[in-house]
Amino acid sequence: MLVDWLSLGSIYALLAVGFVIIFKSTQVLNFAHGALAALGAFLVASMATILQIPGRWMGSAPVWLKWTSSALVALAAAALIGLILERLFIRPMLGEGLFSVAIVTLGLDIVIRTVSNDFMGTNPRPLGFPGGTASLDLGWVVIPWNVVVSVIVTLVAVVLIATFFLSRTGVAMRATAFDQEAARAQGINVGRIFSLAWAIGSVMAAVAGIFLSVFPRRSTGVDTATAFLAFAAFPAIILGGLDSIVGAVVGGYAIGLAQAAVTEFLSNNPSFAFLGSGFGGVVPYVLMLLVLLIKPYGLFGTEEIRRV
Amino acid sequence: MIDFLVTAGILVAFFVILASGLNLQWGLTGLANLGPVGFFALGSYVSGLVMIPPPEVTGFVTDTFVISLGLPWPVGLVAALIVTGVVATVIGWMLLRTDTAPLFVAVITLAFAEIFFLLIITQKWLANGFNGIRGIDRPLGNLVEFGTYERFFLVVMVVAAALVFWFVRHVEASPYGRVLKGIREDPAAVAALGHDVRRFRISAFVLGCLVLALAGALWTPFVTVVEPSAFGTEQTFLVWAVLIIGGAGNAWGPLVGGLVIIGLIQQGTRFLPATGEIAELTVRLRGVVIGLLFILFLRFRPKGLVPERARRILPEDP
Repeated sequence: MLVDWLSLGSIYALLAVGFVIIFKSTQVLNFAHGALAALGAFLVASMATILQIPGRWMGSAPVWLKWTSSALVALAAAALIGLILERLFIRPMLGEGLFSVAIVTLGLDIVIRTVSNDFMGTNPRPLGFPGGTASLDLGWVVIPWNVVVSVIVTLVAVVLIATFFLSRTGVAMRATAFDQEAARAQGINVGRIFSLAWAIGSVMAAVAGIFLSVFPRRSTGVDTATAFLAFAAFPAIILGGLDSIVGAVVGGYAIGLAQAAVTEFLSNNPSFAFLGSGFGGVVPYVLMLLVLLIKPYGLFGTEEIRRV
Repeated sequence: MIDFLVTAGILVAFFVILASGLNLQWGLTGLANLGPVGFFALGSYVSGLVMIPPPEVTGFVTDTFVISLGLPWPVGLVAALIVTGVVATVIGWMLLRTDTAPLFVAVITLAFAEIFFLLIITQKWLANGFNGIRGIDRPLGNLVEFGTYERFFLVVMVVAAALVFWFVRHVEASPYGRVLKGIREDPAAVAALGHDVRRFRISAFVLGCLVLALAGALWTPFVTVVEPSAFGTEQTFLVWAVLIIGGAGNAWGPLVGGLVIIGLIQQGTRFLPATGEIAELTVRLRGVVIGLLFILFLRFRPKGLVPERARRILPEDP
């Protein structure tokens, strides 16, 4: 259960963080995040196992080094894709209603998914994660390496991003989110902030996509269902609050814990056997509805002034 | 060829009904329902469960349904509408709790669709999981000559779509519809005029969901199989695409959008010269083309092909 919790929690937290970055600086609810995660994972799969870039030029370098450099190339590609998407589809919508931009990402989602599913085909694409099925044995608990790495990556990413938001550019991002026109009047290049947010958001989506595809229980690789699974990050964001990085992480691990605990409880209690094995997947959404009823702006979110 | 056209016509009628339901919610009232496929599926599943006869107990029973009544289609339709009405009221109440801010409405309705989908695929005792409900009898199937059922069904669907169109047109022009539009534009002003904004919002939401469930209950006898794969998230997107590209806020929008998006682009491209590479390419490009069109419309013509016209009550100033 600890393993399930940590792996689910990290995935949700990573997805949520990428989501929150885009929301926090552009106020856009990005419905294409799941598609971006799947696309990122697919990029890693192509770089690491199909095209072998840059591994093919690295001769006899160790496997993990080859894989890591492939992943970095893929993440750079993801950032580039984020930049292009923002420039083509989001930037022209600057100044339009916030919700119509969110709806644009709905169209974006379908476009990305159609294209990446087409390249992917119907079979899952393995990512060639070098940790494989090996585990770290701590004596009292055995944790697969991919879970260890996902937890470390989540924590590092969060610390980096939290410090980034305190920097000059980070403050500019928050100002942009608060009021685009006022930010512009203060000499902030709002367009560049948008680009930056989407680049970072896409990279975070891709990182989450990697772990979503080497997840202990679905370790076959990235396939056409990956984008759908990523929807489960919504509950984490709602629980944590739409615009809080800390909230995204806390929300991610809390939702992961709830799902792992319910799954564990159901599998140990034969009287609940009728609920089937997949019931845990429903838990995040049910929790989300409860949070929305009790505290719509989440644990760490900024409350907005209500109208009417 | 003619069978192709008949199927295309049926699908167009389905999407006209679905987009009209969404039009009541988003177009008139400004409620961003991102889970129309959930209510469509709910209507379809409830009617399917009411209509399917109890599975025969054989050596190895594999089909499991939470209920299986074997009742005729009209009962299934009424049951679908009642269940959806109750569910939509509960969700509508949740929407009011969050003040129907578009983002929260979107997330709640999305969550409903996901929960429903996940329950269906993971809980086999509910409606037979991935295999779905199979072998539902077509109403009047014994009266209509074999092989012409599709054409008969096309007539049914066209009548249904026409009725829904007529209904939405009347809602739009009625005092009720004008209040809804007022709420969409400025809820505070409408509240100041003494209208109960919450009641109007929840009733419009439930009404829209009932139209979506009606489409679901019609879908069941058409395909005779209710299975989860028909209710993916891409259906939600298609309904939105039909509404936005056609034009939200007026009854003609979903009609035109359905004809253009479903009729012309999704189904019409099947008539393109289909040889080898090109045929494959058109199949692949369909989603991309509709997605890009959707984005372009939001940017350059957010009011759609048939824009909503402001009703002028007082004569123009001289």
